[in-house]
This record gives sequence, C-alpha cells and structure tokens, in this order.
Amino acid sequence: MVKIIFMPRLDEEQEKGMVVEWLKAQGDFISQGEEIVEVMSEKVSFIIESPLKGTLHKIFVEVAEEVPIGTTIAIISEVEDSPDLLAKAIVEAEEQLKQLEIPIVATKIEEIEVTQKREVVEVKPERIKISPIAKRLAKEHGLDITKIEGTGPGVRIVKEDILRAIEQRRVIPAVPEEVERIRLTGVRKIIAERMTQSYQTAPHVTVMMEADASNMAKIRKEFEEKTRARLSYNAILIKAVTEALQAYKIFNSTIEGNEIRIHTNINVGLAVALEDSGLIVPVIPDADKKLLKELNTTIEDLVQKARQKKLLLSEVKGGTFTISNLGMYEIDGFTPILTPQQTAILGVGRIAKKPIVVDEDSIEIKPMMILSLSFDHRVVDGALAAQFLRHLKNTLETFTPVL
Amino acid sequence: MEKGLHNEISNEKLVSLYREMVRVRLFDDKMGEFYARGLCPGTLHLSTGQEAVAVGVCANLTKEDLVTSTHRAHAHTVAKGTPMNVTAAEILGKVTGCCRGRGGTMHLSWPEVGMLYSSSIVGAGAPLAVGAALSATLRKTNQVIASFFGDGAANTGGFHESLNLASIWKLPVVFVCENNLYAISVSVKRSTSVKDIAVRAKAYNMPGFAIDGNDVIEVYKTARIAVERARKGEGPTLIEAKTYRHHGHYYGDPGTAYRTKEEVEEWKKGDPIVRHRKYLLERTIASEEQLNNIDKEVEEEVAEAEKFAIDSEFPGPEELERFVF
Amino acid sequence: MSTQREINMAEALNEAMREEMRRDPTVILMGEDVGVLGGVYGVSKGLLDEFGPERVRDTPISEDGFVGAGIGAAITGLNPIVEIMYPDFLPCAMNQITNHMAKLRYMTGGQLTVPLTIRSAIIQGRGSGADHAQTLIPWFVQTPGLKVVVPSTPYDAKGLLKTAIRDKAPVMFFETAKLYLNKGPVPEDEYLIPFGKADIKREGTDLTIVAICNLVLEALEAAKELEKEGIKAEVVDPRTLVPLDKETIINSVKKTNRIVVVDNNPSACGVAAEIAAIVAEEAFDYLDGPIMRVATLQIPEPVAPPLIKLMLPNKEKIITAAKKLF
Repeated sequence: MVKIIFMPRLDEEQEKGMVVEWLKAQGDFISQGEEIVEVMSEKVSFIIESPLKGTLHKIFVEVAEEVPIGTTIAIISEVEDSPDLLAKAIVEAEEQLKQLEIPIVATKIEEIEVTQKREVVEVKPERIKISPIAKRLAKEHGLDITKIEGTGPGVRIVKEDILRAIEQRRVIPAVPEEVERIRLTGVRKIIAERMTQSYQTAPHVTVMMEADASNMAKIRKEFEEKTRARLSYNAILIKAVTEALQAYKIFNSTIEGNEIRIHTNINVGLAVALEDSGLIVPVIPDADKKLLKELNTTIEDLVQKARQKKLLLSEVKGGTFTISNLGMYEIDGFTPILTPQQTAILGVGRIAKKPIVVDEDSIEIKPMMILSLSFDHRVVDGALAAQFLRHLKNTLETFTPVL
Repeated sequence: MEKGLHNEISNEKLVSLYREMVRVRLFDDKMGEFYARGLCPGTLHLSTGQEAVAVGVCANLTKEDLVTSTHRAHAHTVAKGTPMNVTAAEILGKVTGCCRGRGGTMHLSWPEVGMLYSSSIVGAGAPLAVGAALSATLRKTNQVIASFFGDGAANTGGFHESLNLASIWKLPVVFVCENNLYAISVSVKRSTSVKDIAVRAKAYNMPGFAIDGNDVIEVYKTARIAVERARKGEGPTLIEAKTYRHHGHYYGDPGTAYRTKEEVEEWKKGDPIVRHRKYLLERTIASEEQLNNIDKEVEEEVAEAEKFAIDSEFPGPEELERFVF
Repeated sequence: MSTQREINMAEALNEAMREEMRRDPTVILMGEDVGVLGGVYGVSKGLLDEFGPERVRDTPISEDGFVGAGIGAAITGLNPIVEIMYPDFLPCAMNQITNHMAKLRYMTGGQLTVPLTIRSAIIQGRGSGADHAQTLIPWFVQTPGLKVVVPSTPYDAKGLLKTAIRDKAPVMFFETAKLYLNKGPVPEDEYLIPFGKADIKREGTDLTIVAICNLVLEALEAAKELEKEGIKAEVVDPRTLVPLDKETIINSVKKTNRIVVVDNNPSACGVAAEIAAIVAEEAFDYLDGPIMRVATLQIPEPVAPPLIKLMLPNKEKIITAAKKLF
C-alpha cells in the first residue's frame, strides 16, 4: 500500500509545521515503527514513526521547510505496490506543493525507483568483525572499515588496527583542519534567531540584588510537613514575582512601536534547560491566580513534559514575564536576555550560606541568593527596576503565601 | 471466668477493655468495607471475633513496651495505640500511612507507641521480639515485648528457636499464641502434636497458660501475670489464647470449605464483645446508655480515620527509592 | 605518621570489632562459638574477656532465631554484629535476612533502621563438600536493601568492617577463611574505608581484571605472569558489591579496552555476570573484544582435590581468558 506521510497537527492552534531532520534517507528500507522524520511546530518537536514496513520512496519537503498541516511530506511504498499507484501519489503530492509555491525537491533516483522497485533485492553485506571501540574510532576518523585488515582474534578489527590506519593516513600530505560542523536546526536555530532579535532590539540593562532565602526555606519546610510532597523553590519565586508584578504592572508589558501594552494576565515562563542542549520556556498561565500547591504541580508537570519534549504549543505561548533559574548550576548572578515581546526577565542564582552583617556590628550566617533583573530600557528605567527588585526581595523574605 | 476475679480490676479498666474491643471491631469492619469497595491493594485479614486477645494483652503494656504482630495485624496495631487514621491510610497505601504506603495491611509499624512491626511471614515475628527483648535488657529500659502469633506459627522452627533463646537468656518476652484453630484451612487438630500449644512452654522451661481467648478479663489477668514476670526479670511466658475468627482467612474467604456453618455459628455466640458487654450490664458496672455512647464515639473515631485515609494522596514517584538503605 | 606494621586478616578483623565495641557500647557480637572459643578461626579472640558475656554471646545453633534476634535488637537501639560461621549456613536464616533485615527500613517508610552486620567466612575449595563451600554472595547482591562487602586484604578488611559496623544499613560482610593468616600492612592509627570505592590493586594499560575476595590475589599473580608476555593488566578490587563502584571499573575499561571478570560464584546471574552487563551497557564503545568471565562451574563443589581445581577460578584460568583477548 502506498502510504502518504503528512505534516501532522501537533497542537490545536497549529497551522504549519517544519521538518527538523530526516532520520531516514530517500530509498532507505524501513521497518514498522522505525523513526523516519522529526517535525516541529513553533517549539514542540515530534518524531513520526513508520506505520508500515517498506521503502521511504520519496521525500517532498526538505529540512527547515515549513508547510501547512496535512501536506504530504513523504511517501512510503511496499514491495507489492503497483508503479501506477505510486506515480499517481507522487503527482498528487507534487501538485499540492506547487500550489504552495514550495520548490519540489529534486531526486535523482525517482524514475528508476518507480519502475525497478519490484526487482530490488535486499543484499546483506558480509558482516565485518570489528570491536566496538574500533568501530567507533573508525567512524570518528572517517575510515572505511572494509579496507582495514583485522589482526585481532578471529580476524576481528581491533583498536590497534584502527590506530595503525590513522597513523598511516597521517603520512599523507596535510589535510585541512578537521572542524566539527553542527548544523543549526530545530530548537537551536530558533533560540539563535530569537536571542539575536531580542538582544539587538531591546536595550538591555541588568540590576542585581541579594535576598535572604531563609523565608523560602521556611515556606518549603512548612509545605513539606503539611503535604509530604517536595516544593520547588521556583514555585515560591513565581508566587513572589506575581505579587511584585501586581505592584509594578509596567514590568508585565510588551512594547510595540510607539505603544506599551500592559497585560492584564500574568503568565510566567520558566526557562528549562534540555539535556541535549537547547532551552524551552513553558508558561504558567494566570500564575497570580494559582495557589502555591497548584504552581508546584504545574511546574513539575511542565518541566517533565519539556524534558520529554511533549509540550504543546499552547503550553509555551503567551508568556508575559520569564524566570531563568541557574541556581542548580551554582551560578551566583548573570545577565539574562529578554524573551522577545517581554519587558523583564528574572535571573535566579544559587542559594549559598554567607556571613551577613546584621545590627551593624554582628555577623550572622544566612542563606543568600542573588536576583538579577534584566529589563528593556525603552520601557522602564533603572530606578523603577530597582524598586521592583526591592519589592520582590522584601516579598520573598517576609511573605507567607497560602499553601 | 466467673470467679469474681473482676474485683481485682477497676470498673474503669473493665469499661475501657470494652471500648478497646469495640475500637478494634469497628475499625476492622471499616477495613472490610474498604476492601469490598475495591480500595485496598493486596489482601486483607480481619480479626473479627479475636479482639479480646489483642486488647486483653495490650491493656497491660505501657506505651514504651513493644509489640510484634502478624499478617492479621489490625487488632494489635489499634489496641497498642496506633492512631486509626495513619493505620487506615497505610492499609489503603497512602503516603500519610504509618509506613508511607510501603507496608500495607500486613506490615504495620508505629514505633512511637510501641507498635514495632508486624511480619506477614508466619512465625517470623518471634525472633524479632527476642532481639528487641535482648536490646531492652542490655539497654536497661525495663520494656516488655509482647509477641503475637497464630497456631500455625507454633509449628515453625523460628518459634521453637525463639522460645529457647528467650528462656536461656531470661528475656522479657510474652509469647501470645492466638489459637484460632485454623492455619488458613488446616485445623490445628491435624497440624499440631499437642492439644494445648501452651504445654510446649514446659519444653523451654517457662510457664505456659492455655486460656479462653474470648474472655477479655481472663486474657487481661493472665497477661498481667506474664508481663509482671517479664518486668521483674523472671523471663518469658507462653500464653495460648483460644479464639476464633468470624470471617474466613482473608476478606472474601467464606471460611466454610474447612469449617462447618454450625461450628462458625457456635463460636459467634461466644463473641467476646457481646460477652463482655453482658458482663458489664449484668453487674451494673456500666449502663446501657454509657456503652451505647462508647459505641457512638468509636464510630466517630472510625469515620474520621476513614475521611483521613480516603482524602490522603498516594505516594508520588519521589517516594519510590527512599529508605532502601 | 603511623608505623607500617604488618598483621594478618584475622587480627585486623579482631581489631576492628574491638575498637568499635570500645567506641560504642551498643555494639554486641552474637554467633556460634564466638565467645568462649573466640570464633572457630579465632577472629573474636579475647572479646569475651574484654566486653563480658552480655555483649559477646555464644548462641545455640539457631540461625533463624539469632539472626532474627539480631534484627530485633538492631531496630530497637543496639548495633549488633552477628557471625554465621560459614555462608552455607546463611540459608537457615534466609527468611530473616531477606524478608526483614533487608526490607524493614523500606517497608516501615523509614521508621525502623537495621544497623546489623552479618559476618561469615567463606571456606570454598577446602574439600569439605558442597554444603561447606559456597559464598552465596549473589543472593544478597540481588536483595535490595543489603550492602555487600568482600575484602581481600587485612587493610581493607579492618577499614571496611569498621565502616560496616557504623553503617545504619544492614551489611553482609564476607570474609575468606584462607585469607585469615595472610599478613599485610595495617596502620596502628584508626581509619575507615568508605563503601562504594574500588581499589586498583595494580595499575596497567592493556587489560582490566576485576576480582573479589581471595581471587584478587589470583588476579595479581596472573597479572605478573601476563607482564612477562608484554601484557600490562590492571587489577581492580571493587571491595564492596553493594554499593558498587561502577565508575572505577568503567574508567579502567575505557583505558584498557579489555576486561576479564573473576568471580567465586557460579556464572549464571553471578557477580561477574552483573559487572559484565554493566560494562556492556555503559562502556560498549570502548571494548576491543568480548567481556570474559572466569567464574566457578555451575556444579556443586566436589571433595576430590583435582576436581576442585577444575571447578574454581585460579591464576591459570585468568591467564587463559586474558590471552583470548589478544
């Protein structure tokens, strides 16, 4: 059966999707359930698995191209598919793309594929015995293992054989420096674009202030005693930030042309670092209306989804203020870059015990934390930012939020 | 025990024995209801009909004294003073349970009131009790350890090893055999070499008492002798309290494949709570109204525990790997 | 600076218990023949005299009973050491070990702790028959909640036993009787060895040999022989199997690309099997050949000395396995 692979809808509001990476090449044989292609909506990525066993017959949409939901991005064929049906499917897909005015990806083998598919017999190459480390080294150095003779037990290619081959190659005239090249795709690409845009448009200023985290620890302890659940400091931070934003509404705004729009909703984004590099900012909508407990479970849920790359578009959209917490990486203070369309971002440093002078002449050891507030100088000025930050500090040090 | 023995026990105590038995009964009834509603993970063993043993023994113990229990653990747990709410929550596997949802019905523990542990491996609790008694002796805490087990356990090696160890080391243990006549389906007549398990005490050079386990006053008085001996450093005692479970082995077991209906009905007539209530009323130790009030108060206590247990959360994934070491 | 005196492993273990019993009055010792006789190998010699019959107790032959009692004492404030003469007798107490000792802390939601140490002396290869020859170590490694210690030198034995006694978790401490008289440097000054830290007993670049108990010595002998043929073997002694120092083993494999794991247990689901699996999972791309196991054969131990030799791992078998990798 000829199987059309569509650009899928990943979120209710999504209209278009982009191909992030083809995990299989045109002409590759694929088994059922095997990963074929990574696609994404604005920030949510998704891997499409093959619904059947067959051949990735033709790819229509290249990496980094955006097409509407439902567009054919590839066709998978089975051995018994009739060439007529295949040809028809290809024509239909191409027609569809033409209407979108998206260039059709040229392919060298398509003609032959259609007619010769039936005769293609899978030939299993002779297995080359090679140890895991030898295989890895060969790959890293771009060596063709079919040309290397194994000297290990049972003529296995072992590490020594690869090292010898590398050494031999060195004798050959100098090759240009080998640079590892990483293509900017997917999330990385988006981060690059957005950060550049933000940094170049908004004049950034960062102010910093140290806060005593004892009260936060107290809140956490009380919460944990009452619920026997762990409370994330981020939940407390978000709670306090919403209170400060209510007092200084200008920090919850967007500058557009000659206008500053102050938002009525307080939607707080929380930057989450992803394991394979990259960053995503899930948003807690109406954070000011949530109890600490709700904030805590919402954060937990969003962070987990973020790490598993399961966030919906609706869960990363609409932020009005962002918190970036690098405390767990033992950062003291930093100068965060604004999320585009927002006026301020709070950078949170680690909590560390420090000697603090109290009552003028005595020293106490207290858990301290540096708050770094970056803001858009077009919207607000340093003095106001300082007041906002002081308000936030006082809130964190004294408030007793409803659990 | 119609010998006026109660004269040696205060009226207040006699009434409190009633209250404790009602607490055990109504708590177990509620757990049975939980199970029927599909709320309990695992299986459930009820003590209905055996309340006098747990209550009569625990009434002699201080808060510091320790108890080891069995797979049929609710009676001992409640009688030893573990709050009903944490017990009920544990039986439902909730994080607020005494063992944070890790032990369940058969493995209850609340050391702060001396409810040390209930082991669901038949016969395995006795060695723990011996060790706790050794510890109490060496640390000079003057604690007594009551180790509950059933007739089935009296045929395990661990039981015999424990009696011997407690005897040679003169440890403050009260071994309490709740002989409910059946180890699941096997009658004690078919499994046990002696008519009275209590005679095995002789082989280990300690006193043994075979008593009516459905007479809470007799249990109380016998346990008092054993606890006092232990407290004075005179060594262990074996009490065999003959009793009967109204339910089958577990909740849902009709218990009639190996017991006749007549036998079950006959034993139900000797319900320890009914007997003791009659005793209190006939001798005007307590009024009908007073006892009804106790029933009502206990019902409220159980209802609160029910609410607590139902409203509590299951442990989250962060609990999974805690306390392995 | 402590003087580098040499004592044997039995003396080192005796010192460990003596020092801990002096330090902590809740430490007691129980077991068969540990008191008047001072242990069948003299490991607890003199402890009865110093600490008295309350704290050093000869028990009847009731392993289920006195291991259970050790657990009962441990959960109520004592810090007992229980000796089970040989691991072959551990099955008599297995119910208490696996159902109580290992799990009470978890099953009571952390309310009870079981600071109990069980010591037992392996007598593998002595010709006493199959029920006086086993280590059964994998049984305990497989039981969540137990820590498992397998020392090979007097120094390690002393430092690890002191740590075991102080550890709040239950510990299975496996001694090897044939090592009792082996001497080695043991400082006079007090020291502890943390669990989960392997010791590289010999450094090398071409091959990693992981071994436990007396087989560490066989591995060192094998390494000497291999060096004559130009193979530099690194010998890693994990010292504790739970917790296991995976990092040291994996780092060694990353360096040498080859590994032989030596185990005093049958190969099926054994210690070597577990270490081999970890290396396969976590260092696969560093391997230059298959992971080799040298374990006991999957048979009960016979009495006839030539057959024992065939059954147990030794220097020659380690060398044979190693050479298959070159």
